[in-house]
Amino acid sequence: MIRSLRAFVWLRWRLVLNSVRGGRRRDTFEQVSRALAMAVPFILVALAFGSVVAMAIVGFWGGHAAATGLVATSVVVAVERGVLFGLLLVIVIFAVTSPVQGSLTHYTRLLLLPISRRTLHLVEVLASLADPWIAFLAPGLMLFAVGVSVGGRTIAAIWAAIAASLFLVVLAALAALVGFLVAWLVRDRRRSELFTLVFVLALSLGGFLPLVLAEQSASGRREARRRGEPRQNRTLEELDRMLPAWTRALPSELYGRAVRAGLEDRSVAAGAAVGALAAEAALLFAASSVVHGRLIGSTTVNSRRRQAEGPVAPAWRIPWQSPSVSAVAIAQARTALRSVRGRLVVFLSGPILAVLVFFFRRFEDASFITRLGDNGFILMAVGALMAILSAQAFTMNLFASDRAGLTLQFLLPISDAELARAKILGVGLLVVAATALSAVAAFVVAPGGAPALWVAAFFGVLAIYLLLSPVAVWLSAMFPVAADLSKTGSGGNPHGFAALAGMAGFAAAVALTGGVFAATIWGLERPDLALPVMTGWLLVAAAVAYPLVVLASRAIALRRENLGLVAQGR
Amino acid sequence: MSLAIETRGLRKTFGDLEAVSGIDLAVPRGSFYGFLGPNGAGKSTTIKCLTGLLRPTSGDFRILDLDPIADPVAVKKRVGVVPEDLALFDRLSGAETLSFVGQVHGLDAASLRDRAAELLALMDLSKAAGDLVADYSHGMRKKLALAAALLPAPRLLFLDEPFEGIDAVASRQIKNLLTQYVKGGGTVFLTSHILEIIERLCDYIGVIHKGRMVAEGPMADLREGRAGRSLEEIFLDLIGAEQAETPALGWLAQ
Repeated sequence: MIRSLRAFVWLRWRLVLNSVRGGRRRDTFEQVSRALAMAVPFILVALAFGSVVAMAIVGFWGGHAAATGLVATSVVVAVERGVLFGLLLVIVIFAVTSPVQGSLTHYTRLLLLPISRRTLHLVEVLASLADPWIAFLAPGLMLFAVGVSVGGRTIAAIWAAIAASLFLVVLAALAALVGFLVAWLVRDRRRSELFTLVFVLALSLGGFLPLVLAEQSASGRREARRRGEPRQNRTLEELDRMLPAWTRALPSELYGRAVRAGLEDRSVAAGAAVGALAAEAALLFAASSVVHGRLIGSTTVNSRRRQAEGPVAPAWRIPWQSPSVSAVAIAQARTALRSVRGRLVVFLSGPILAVLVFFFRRFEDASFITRLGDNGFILMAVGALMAILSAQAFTMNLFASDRAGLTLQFLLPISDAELARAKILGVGLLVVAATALSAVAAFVVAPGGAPALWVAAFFGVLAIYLLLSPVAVWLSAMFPVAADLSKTGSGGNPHGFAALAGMAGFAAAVALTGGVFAATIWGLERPDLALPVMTGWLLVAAAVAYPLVVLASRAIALRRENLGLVAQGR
Repeated sequence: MSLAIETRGLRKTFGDLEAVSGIDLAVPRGSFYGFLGPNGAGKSTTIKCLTGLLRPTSGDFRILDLDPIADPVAVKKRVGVVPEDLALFDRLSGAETLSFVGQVHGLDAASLRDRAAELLALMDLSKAAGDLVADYSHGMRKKLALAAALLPAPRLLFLDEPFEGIDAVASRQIKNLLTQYVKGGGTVFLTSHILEIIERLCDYIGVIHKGRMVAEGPMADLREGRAGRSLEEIFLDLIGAEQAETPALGWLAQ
């Protein structure tokens, strides 16, 4: 068992090291590019380290304050319960998304090794303990117990330490159970992609729920004030009593009960809560073991996406473009739309926009909403800009994200300049589709504004995209990553540097174009000039972008070999 | 003799690794050329250099009398390739892949429709034409890659291990098709580890070992003075593997 665990730790470490080193076919620039890409997570870890230390200090202070009576036990425990419940949700959400995007192939590989399924399961559960959120939480929980002990309450500290350890085990087992369960349920590629898409859309829209609830509560308070009712101040105990009965079984609640009972010298109650936590941990571990068994015993069977059979016909041709450019652009749009990332680009910004405006409209007395009703085109532009931003997975990794498809394009009779232009056009089609959806959403909730202004805003969006395009081509050629666009996590992202530089380019293009648009409408107070001015600006953007894209496409020839190797995942 | 491929001192290095060490190739037009070598000998690197996927470190080469460095697009219009990684978009269907390749090659709609239908039927992919490539088996992908390479009717075909993972029926049909293609004036540059296929199909042979050409010429010349010996024996002799002793691995004994 120990030997297997040691082998897995070594395996993970070697994989990290080798991903930086790469093969012998890597040139110096690619080595630097990989080091840069690896630097981003390290920087994030360094930044997160500060939060972990802060959490640990707060934990220690909280424990000490509760033990010495500086702060009421009920208050300290209530804060802990809240934080732990939040982290419980975060960990479950992460557990849901990550396995969906993995594959069963690594299980097949592991199953060939002479390791028992039980060991394999234990390794996977222990791997959940390395989850960054758990790592973020553990020092705070443990130092809370230390704080209680330093405050002179040794027995209470022991209860807190046991409860903290069990809570962490519950978290690891829960994360593993949810992860295995989702991976097993959506082991089919198409189902898993659909699940990811729906989950991300639901999560994005659900993000507004707290805002809606807060507004409902504020509106209730406003109503009560209007009726002249006195403000109600509820105690923590009263709030606790308002919670539904099932919440008492939550691990965060059990932890809170154990700590509070320990601090109040009620050993039997503390023991009961700790026992319940241990039972939950055992139950979750056993359940995860059963699901893990099912998961590794299953095989991936992909349901096929079958199109109507018929004669092979050429795809439609984009006006004013050669058949080659047209074919590559349409293949780009088509393949993107069949990926999770591509669908999110098109379908995410419109619905979010609609929900946002629907919610804002509830602020009856907000004057900016009245103005928004007259300026729906701004909403459309915001939705389109969100789409351009979320299209970074494509724009900042135009070539390597095609994987083996890039080799096919390199083998076909198409010049680098044409290839770059076609790629920009292909992603542009997605942006246009997303803008159209945003326009519909914006029109439904804020139909005001002259049609000319809507067209002007649309031209502004196109100008921003065009201004960004040479930067996109150059960065995609210089910093390629073999991304998997069915993944919403880091596996589908472009190179960290390309994403950062692309963001800066996007901000500059938005500032320039937005400046021209705003100066015309609000500066000069000539909305009637918006359409001619933005048409002119679009032409300027096209005139600037076209030669720059051709220039940037020289980087493809320069980095062709490397692009091919990276796209193949070498 | 008119040459489809001609290289002089073709060399490709990756840092301090010399994958191809200045090879000279002369592949006659209308020949079925078998390019042999053990794993890591430099076969795929050579094909990648010749098809423009890798840029040679030094050396000259011409494909169908054209300079691929000066005019890569003109060369690609006349060449079909089935590379090592098969080069297919996972998220296009088989039919869409052929449509894409045909359109980039500038085929008109009628030719595209007719040729694609024939190729799909030949490769037994007609029923799966609407499925995404991501859902294809390895053999189906290989057949689709071959169909895509043949679609624009190239004058020269580079095939990197085309028979690996293909069933016996399709393999036989493809062999017949390639033989007819060569009879019609086309040139095939083929790598394969299945020496029986090379022996049966190829009339010219090139053997590469550790990045260097150790033999090249018509199959008949290669056999001269080696009567009664199979291609496998000749090949092993050429790369010096015949004398190599197989380690005993005594610990394998039960």
